[in-house]
Amino acid sequence: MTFGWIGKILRVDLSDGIIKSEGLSEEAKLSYIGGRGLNAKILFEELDPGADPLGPENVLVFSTGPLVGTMFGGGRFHVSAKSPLSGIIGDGNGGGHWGPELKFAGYDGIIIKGKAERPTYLLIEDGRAELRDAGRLWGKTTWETEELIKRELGDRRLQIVSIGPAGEKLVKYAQVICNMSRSAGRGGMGAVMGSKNLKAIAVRGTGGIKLADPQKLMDMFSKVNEKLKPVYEEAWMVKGRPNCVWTSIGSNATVYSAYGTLGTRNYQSGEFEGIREISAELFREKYAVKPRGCHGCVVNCSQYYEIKDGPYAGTYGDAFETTQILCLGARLGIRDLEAILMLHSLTDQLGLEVIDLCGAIGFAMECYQRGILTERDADGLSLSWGDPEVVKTLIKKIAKREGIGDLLAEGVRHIASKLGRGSEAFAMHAKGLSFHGADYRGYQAWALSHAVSSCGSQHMRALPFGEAGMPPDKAERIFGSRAAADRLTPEGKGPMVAWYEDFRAVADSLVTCKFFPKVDEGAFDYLAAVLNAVTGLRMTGNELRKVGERVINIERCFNIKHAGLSRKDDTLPRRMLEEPLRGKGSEGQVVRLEPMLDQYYEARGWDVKTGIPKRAKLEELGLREAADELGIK
Amino acid sequence: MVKVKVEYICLFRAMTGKWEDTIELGDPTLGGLAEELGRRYGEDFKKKLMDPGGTPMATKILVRKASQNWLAREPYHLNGWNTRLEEGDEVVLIRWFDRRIF
Repeated sequence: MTFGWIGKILRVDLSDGIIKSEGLSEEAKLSYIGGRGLNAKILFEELDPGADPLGPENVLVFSTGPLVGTMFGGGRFHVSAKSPLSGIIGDGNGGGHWGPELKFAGYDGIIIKGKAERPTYLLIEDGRAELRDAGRLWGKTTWETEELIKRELGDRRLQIVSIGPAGEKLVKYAQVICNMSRSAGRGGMGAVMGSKNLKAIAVRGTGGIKLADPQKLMDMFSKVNEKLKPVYEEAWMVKGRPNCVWTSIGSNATVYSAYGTLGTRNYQSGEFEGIREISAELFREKYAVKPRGCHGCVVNCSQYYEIKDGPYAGTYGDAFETTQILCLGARLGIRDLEAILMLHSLTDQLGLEVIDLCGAIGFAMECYQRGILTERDADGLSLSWGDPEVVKTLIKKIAKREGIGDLLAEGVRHIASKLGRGSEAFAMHAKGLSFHGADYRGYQAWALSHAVSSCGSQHMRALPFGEAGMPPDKAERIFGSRAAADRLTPEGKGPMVAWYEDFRAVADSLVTCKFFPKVDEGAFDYLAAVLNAVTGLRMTGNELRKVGERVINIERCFNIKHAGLSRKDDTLPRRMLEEPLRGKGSEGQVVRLEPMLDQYYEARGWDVKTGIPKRAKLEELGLREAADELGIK
Repeated sequence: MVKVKVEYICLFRAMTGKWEDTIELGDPTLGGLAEELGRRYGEDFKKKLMDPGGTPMATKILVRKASQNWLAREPYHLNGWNTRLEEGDEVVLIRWFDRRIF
């Protein structure tokens, strides 16, 4: 009997319309678990190096993991493909209810290849799957698409992941959306869907998940609930207003400001004079209506909001948090919270990923400031900082690839290479993906994690927050160095980033929420205990960490195979490396990358000179075939 | 007496209803500041401020010292509650949900 996993994958070829079900191998479960790990394995094995990310040959994988559908942060799914934005592995992790519903419908994941002749959507209901015409959905927003499919099928309980107009127009950072504002897919997973003429995947299931040891799981969960009591009592209701966890996380923007690390006006400064006007604290006081959660989650971190009056009256949305404040606010110089909420709602409806969107717009604004772009280039628009109406116009142009929107839709790296004139120095990206809004010059480990991340810049890939909040003696126990706990020194950061990367890779493979499990001493042991209670495995924490390490290594192998990546590509823009940060809290800081790279490769068992995994390391992880394929001696 | 600026973030902002204070301290240490804030905002505020952590709710403190180029430092990189505060130094108080919960 299979516990945790369903044991089945749906394989869909959109070119010939053939849909079949296949088993999920024991090897895949034990070596990669699911989610991000499973997706990386499939992509490495099934995708040829010359594959065009927007061609029918690209492979798009949606998957869940054994924890999906349980109460342990199990409301999520992972989507991966070769990224049209970076040319390397692209992936994203989304919450809501779609992932669990896919399992209830009888599948752990879906592998999609080919291209449908006309707009299509995939319907999966209790083990049955069919392709349906999406002609009347084409051009609709993600919110309209969800509604229209539910009406067409007469089932309000369908869970739907879809793309908006941006995905249809192959905007390189279009993403997928479910449950209104639950988004996934850095690197343009929505564009990959659009390139396949696939508008949506609707799922409905009445099955369940078999648990190996339900009592143990319930006991563990009861302890979680007990520990959450102070949160209920203290954080969730303050002065009669909802103030859930995510609002605290939204307060990260204010905290980054306290560190002087708010990536303001495309990272020209670490301080934003309007931060209090656009803060999560103000959002909580004025616009938050109620918290909403993913499937089975007791934390309910997503904030549903409404604007009741003023120029943006009638605006509503969900899942507002730090990233939106950073990207739509400080990064573009906008100090009007209502305008930011309006723009956030718009990006979700159009299916645009906000980090790369604002990376492109912020970069264009700095080019305008420096005279590299003119009003004539920008369809007559003045790209001055801080004008939400201009940003709204740009967003609509990007989603339609109209005028300057066509250039901005290509992402910051492409725009910089097209404009030249020294603009590459302030094109704030790593491997083609934009920074999310914090200034990593103030966080050495976080900066390193962006440089080495397998998918390009991704703030959640390692999220090594121990460098700015962990007592040094604990850092020494976990990472072998007291200095690891000091964000301002490069010392000790290599092993620290490797540890956090492995942990995040495990969470993404289980699949569980990154904000749910303990990220501290004993983290791998705890997750192993949860996994064992769900699946009946007897995995140790060390073995589980090995899974994370395997995932990181197969992703590295994918990037070597598809883009020939090596140490020279593990880098950051010149602004990060050479321009001292201006910001009270982190004044004068630059990223000291080279010594950290040495430590990181050393910790990973990779060649320090090239950044390529050593054969011995790949063999230790059971990746001998990958080593053979890449010709690693 | 030493004057310091205190900033309140997240739940401390909700508890005080303000973003910042300027406070005069007879005992110019971080511990002295905690005592003074306890007098102003009550024992519950002080208790939360001095919370050693270990529960999902946690306090984070940053000290920005003029003499150290305003670099934001956690107290354990300084001298804990005995950290000396000088005229014009800034202290940021954050009360939030600690994600390392289980």
